[in-house]
Amino acid sequence: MSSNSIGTIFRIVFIFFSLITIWFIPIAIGYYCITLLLGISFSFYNTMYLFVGVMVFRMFFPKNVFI
Amino acid sequence: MKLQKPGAGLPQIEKGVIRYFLVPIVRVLFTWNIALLYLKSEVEKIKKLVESLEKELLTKQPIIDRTFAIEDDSRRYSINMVLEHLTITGTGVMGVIKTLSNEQEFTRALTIEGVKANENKQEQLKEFIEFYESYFSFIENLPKIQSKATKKHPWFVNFNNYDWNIFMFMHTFIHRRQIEAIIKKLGEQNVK
Repeated sequence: MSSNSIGTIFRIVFIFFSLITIWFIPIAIGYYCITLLLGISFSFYNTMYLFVGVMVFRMFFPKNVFI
Repeated sequence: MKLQKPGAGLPQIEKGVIRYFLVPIVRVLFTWNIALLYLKSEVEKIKKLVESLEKELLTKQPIIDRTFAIEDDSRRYSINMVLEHLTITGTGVMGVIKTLSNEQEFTRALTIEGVKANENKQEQLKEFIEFYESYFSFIENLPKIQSKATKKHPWFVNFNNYDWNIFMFMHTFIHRRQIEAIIKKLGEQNVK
C-alpha cells in the first residue's frame, strides 16, 4: 500500500472523528442545559448513551431527520 | 508499464471495506449540509493546489502508485484529467440527484468507463470551478428530503439522493489525494 493510500485512510479516520465531534458537542450542550434546568447532576456516561442513541436512531430512521 | 483496463474496478478488500464499513458510517454521520460544507472545502483545496502549479505540469501524465479507492487505469491521469473526470462524474451525479429527488427512476446505466477522462486539455480548472459552483447552488436550493428512489453505484450499493450527495464529497476528496500524489511524482521527476 502506497504512503498516499495510508495517508488517505488516516484522513478518513480524522474526518470521522471530526463528524463525531460535530454531533457530540451539541448533544452534550443540550444534555448539560437539561441537567441545569432540572437540577440534576451532569454525567459523561449519560452523554455517551445519548450520543449512541442519536446515532442508532439515525441508522434506522435517517429519512428527513436532522437535515 | 501496462495498467489494467478502464472499469477493472478496485481490489476486493478495498471494495469490501468501502461498501460494508465506510458507506454505512458516512450515512449516519453526515447530513446534506455537512457534506456540502466538506465538499466546498475540498474544491477550495484543489483550486489552491492547481493554481500553485505551472500550466505545463497540469497536462503531464506520470504513472503514480495506486492511491486509495482509485482504479489502476486512473494512475496515468494528469491533473487536468482528474479535473475533467471530476467534472464528468459530478455532472452525471447531479443528474442522478435531480431525477431521484423527483422520485423518478434513473434509467441510464452508470459505468466507470463512461466517466473516464478522455481529453487532456490545456485549461480545465475554469470548467471544473464552474461546474462545482453550479452544483453548490443546485444542492443549496434542493429540498433536503431523502428520496425513496435509488440508483446503484457501479461498485457499491444502491444510493438515494442524499447518499449521492455524500458520495460527491468522498469522491472529490479521494481525487484530491490523487492530485497530491501526481504533484509529488512530478516533483520527484524534476529532481531526477
